[in-house]
Formats: sequence, C-alpha cells, structure tokens
Amino acid sequence: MSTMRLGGRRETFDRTWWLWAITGAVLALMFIPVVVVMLYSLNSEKSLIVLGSLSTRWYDKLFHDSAMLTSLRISVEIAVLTALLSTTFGTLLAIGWQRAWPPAANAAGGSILLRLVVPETAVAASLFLLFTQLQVVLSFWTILAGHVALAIAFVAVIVRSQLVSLNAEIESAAQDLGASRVGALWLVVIPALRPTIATAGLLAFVLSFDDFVTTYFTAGVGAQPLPLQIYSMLRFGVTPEANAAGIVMLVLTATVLTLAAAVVLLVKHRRRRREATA
Amino acid sequence: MSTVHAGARALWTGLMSPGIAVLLLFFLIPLVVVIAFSFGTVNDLNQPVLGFSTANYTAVFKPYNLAPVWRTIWFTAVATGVCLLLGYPVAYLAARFAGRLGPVIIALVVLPWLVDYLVRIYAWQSILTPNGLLPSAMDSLGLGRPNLAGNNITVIIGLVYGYLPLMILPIYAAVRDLPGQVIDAGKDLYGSPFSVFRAVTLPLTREGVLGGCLLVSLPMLGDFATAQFLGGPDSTMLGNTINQQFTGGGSQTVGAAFTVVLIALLALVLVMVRVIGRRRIGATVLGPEQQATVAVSG
Repeated sequence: MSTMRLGGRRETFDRTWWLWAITGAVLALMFIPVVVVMLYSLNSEKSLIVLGSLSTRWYDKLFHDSAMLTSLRISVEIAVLTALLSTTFGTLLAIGWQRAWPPAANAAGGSILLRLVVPETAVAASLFLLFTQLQVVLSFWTILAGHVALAIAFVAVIVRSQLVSLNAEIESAAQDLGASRVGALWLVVIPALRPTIATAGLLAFVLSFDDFVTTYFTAGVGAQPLPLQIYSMLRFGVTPEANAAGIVMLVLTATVLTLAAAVVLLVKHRRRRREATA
Repeated sequence: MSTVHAGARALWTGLMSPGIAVLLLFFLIPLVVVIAFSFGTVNDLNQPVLGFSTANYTAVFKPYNLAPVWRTIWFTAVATGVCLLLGYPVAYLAARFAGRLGPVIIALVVLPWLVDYLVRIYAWQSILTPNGLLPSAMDSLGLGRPNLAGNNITVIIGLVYGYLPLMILPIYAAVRDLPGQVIDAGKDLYGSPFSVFRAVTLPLTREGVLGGCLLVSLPMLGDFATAQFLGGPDSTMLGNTINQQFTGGGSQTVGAAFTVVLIALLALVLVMVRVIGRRRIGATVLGPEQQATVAVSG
C-alpha cells in the first residue's frame, strides 16, 4: 500500500504490468471452461462444434428428466443432513478439542488434522472396503456417513479457530451469575459462535453437495446423487444436459457461499458498529 | 477445586463423543481395516480374507503396477510446481498492488471452481479432443486436427486447473499479512526487485507457499477422474488403479495395498513440508487463513 502512495497508481502499474498480465492469463484460463460449459448448455445443437441458436432446450430437458430431479433432491437432502449433523458434532468436537481431558483432546485434534490431510480417495476406498466386509448395503445412509465424517473435520477446525479468540471471562461471569456449565455454554458461548457455526454449516453443505470421490465409493445401486448422475452421463459421451446440470449446481453452490460470505460481512459490520458506539 | 476441574473436563470430553464416534467409525477404523486387508488374500470368490501375506505388495511392486505410482508422483510434482508459478504472481498482485480489486480477483479465481468438478474436467475434454473446439479451430485455419487430449500433458493441465485456487488462497493470505515496509526497506537498501523477492518476500511468505503446496498436492495424489477423462491408457494415476481394483473387478486386497501406498505418499509429502517449513505440520495446515481455505475446498 505504501508504495502505491509513494509512487502513485500509474507508476505502480507500469512496474507491475507483467503481474497483471499473468493474472489476466490465469483468470482467462480459469474462465474458458466455464464459458464453454455455459455455451454448450445454451446451444440448441447437440454437437460440440456446431453452434446453433440460443436455446433453453437442455435446461427444459433437465427439469423434465425425473432421474435428474431425483438426483438433485437426493444431493440436497444429503447436503442438508450433512450440514446439520456435522455442525452439531463438529462444534462439540471443537469445544472438547479446546477443553477436554488432554489425552482425549489431543487424540481428537490429531484425528481431525489427519482427516484433513489424508487424500479423500484413500478414505473413501477404505470405507467401501469396510462397508462391503460388514455387508452393509451401500445406500443413502452410507453416503451420509462418509460425508459427515469428512465435513465434521472442517467444521471442527473452523469453529475452534473462533473459539480460541472468545473472551473466556464472559463464560465464567455467566457461571458466577448462577449458570451451570452447560447453561453458560448454551447461553454465552454458542450465541457468540453462531455466525461461525452458520458459516461452517453452509460450507459443509457445499462440501457435501459437490463431493464426488466419497460419494462415488459409498453409493450403492439405485438413485444416485447429482455428481454421480453427471459422472455416468459423461462416461457415455456428449451430453449437453450435463452442462446444464453443471450450471445449475454452480448457481446453487454460489448462492450458498454468497450467503456464507454475507454472514461473515454482516457480523464484521455489526461488530465494527458496536465498537464505534462503545 | 481440582475435582470441579476434573468434572468440567469430563463434561467436555463427554460432549465430544458423538464426533469422536463418527471419526472412529467412518475414518480411523476404515484406515486400520484397509491396512489389515492389504496383508490379506482373496478366496475363490475373489472376496478378501484377512491373513498375513505380502503377495499384494509384491503385486504393487511389479513394473506394470508401479508405473501409475511413478506417474502420480511426477504429475503431482509438476502440477504443484506449475500451480505455484501461476498462483504466486496472482496472489501477490491481488494482495499488494490491486487495492480494492484484490478481493475481486480472489473471488474470480474461486468462482469457476464452483462448477461441478466433473463438468469442469469434461469442459477441458470438449476443448481438447479431436472433435473439440481447439482442434476444430486449428483445422479451419489449415493447421490440421491434432488430438490434444489423452496424454500426460492434458492430465497435468487438468490437475493444475482443478486445484489452482487452493494454491492462490493461502499465498494471498500470507502476502497480505506481510508488512509493505519490509519490502520498501529492502529496496531502500538498494536490493534489486529479484534480490528483495528472494531475500525478503519469499522467506516471509514461505508458510503460505508450503500451505498452498500441501493443499494442492494432497488431493492430486488421490485424483482419478482427471486422468480418466483427460488421459489415455498410458497416463493413468494411482487413484485409477485403486478405483479399478475396488470397483472395476480387480482384487480388493491389492486395492488395499495401493491405498496404503497412497497413504505412504501422503506421509512423504508431510515429512517434506515439515523439513522445509519451520512450523509443525498442524500449524502449516491450520494457519487461520488456511483453515478458511481448506474449508472452501469443496
């Protein structure tokens, strides 16, 4: 920032033009496939080369395709349940990670970190092996188990980062005023964590909704979540409907993440206003 | 007092139990099971049976099976390097020179990434295959119609594309936290831009770089859809082998041994990051900004 003030915007740009060039190229690279997907999803032709007229044909087809709609419903159901379960369990894990009997807290923290670094393919393949060995029928519930076990680690990490910055005195003040330990947690700590928990929940939703690898290994035969439905469509060649589905998923996840960002900004804004008035 | 304290600890420990149960049942126990079965055998029905045999590992170390493992290592190394070369300038610009545009650039980097992972891979496929956009365009210019898909390079492009934002976000956070005065001081001491970068900027953003490399390389090691859709028969990766052994009619115990190889590669990456970085792995994975990064990685 200081260089900007010293040298002026124009001069800064002259010295950094090559950084802008690389950034422009990277952004172009990032967007080319998205533009391609969007173009094909709106192309009246099925071909990849022939661009016909602008048409919502593939979206129409998508929204009248009962298999796709079922898939969308299953994906949303799993994502909602994953968000609810992983925020509940993950928040409790974060609290315990901070305060529990140290060996238990360290073991929990270690498992959470391990979960974040072990490649998803390894865990998902292992789950597949375990389920088939125990003769558990792969279904909605095995997918949910896989997703919760993934999202819970992310939730725990996010909530814990907020938890360590909380003022511990408020909680002891609540206890001095007669609240039980659980009461103080419920009345003081959880409300202070609420925006963080909400953000973590929305991220858990997106994580689950978009997940391919864990879903792939834990899903059985029968109705499939959307990423698997798209996978099987893509395996059989040109399918503009899959492009339309991709755009629908983009809109859904972008909406959820925008909500998450809005929560963060709103809380920051409120906090700043409160500090300004105090 | 100490008994009260113990009571509180027991309470917090108890509250963790559902989360611990989930992690045990659906994460830790499966990993133990996969390690156990990697030493098992299969019966006449091709069902895995526990035992103590090293036959699966002998199978893994056959040249034919080892090839995808080597490919996975070098694909991941090259793709991580390319991500760093492309990602650092973007993160640096966004954090230091772009002013109010900085967060916009970061948002633009993340946005395409919300398109379903498979649809993005498929988009590249439809750009690069002989009937795709790029060869068709080249054909109409009289350059012929090359098949640009189905080789090692397209798989690496796919990997870079798939995980680049995970490199940019932690570096962005690290550069943003870097006080600008430090760089100005380097310039006041007559450092050339390059020497200031090498002596000041790069060391101070090292954790961001390592965090980015970690976030990018770990999922790449296990990736299989990229090679499946963008690669040819000679550019498959470890993830494809695991997938094939488990769900494609292979042997589950051999698949288990390959999964153990994947976990070993993860351990190797962690050791490398630990040796290069000053902080503990946990700190590298969990710098406050990286947490958010990890969290967005869906």
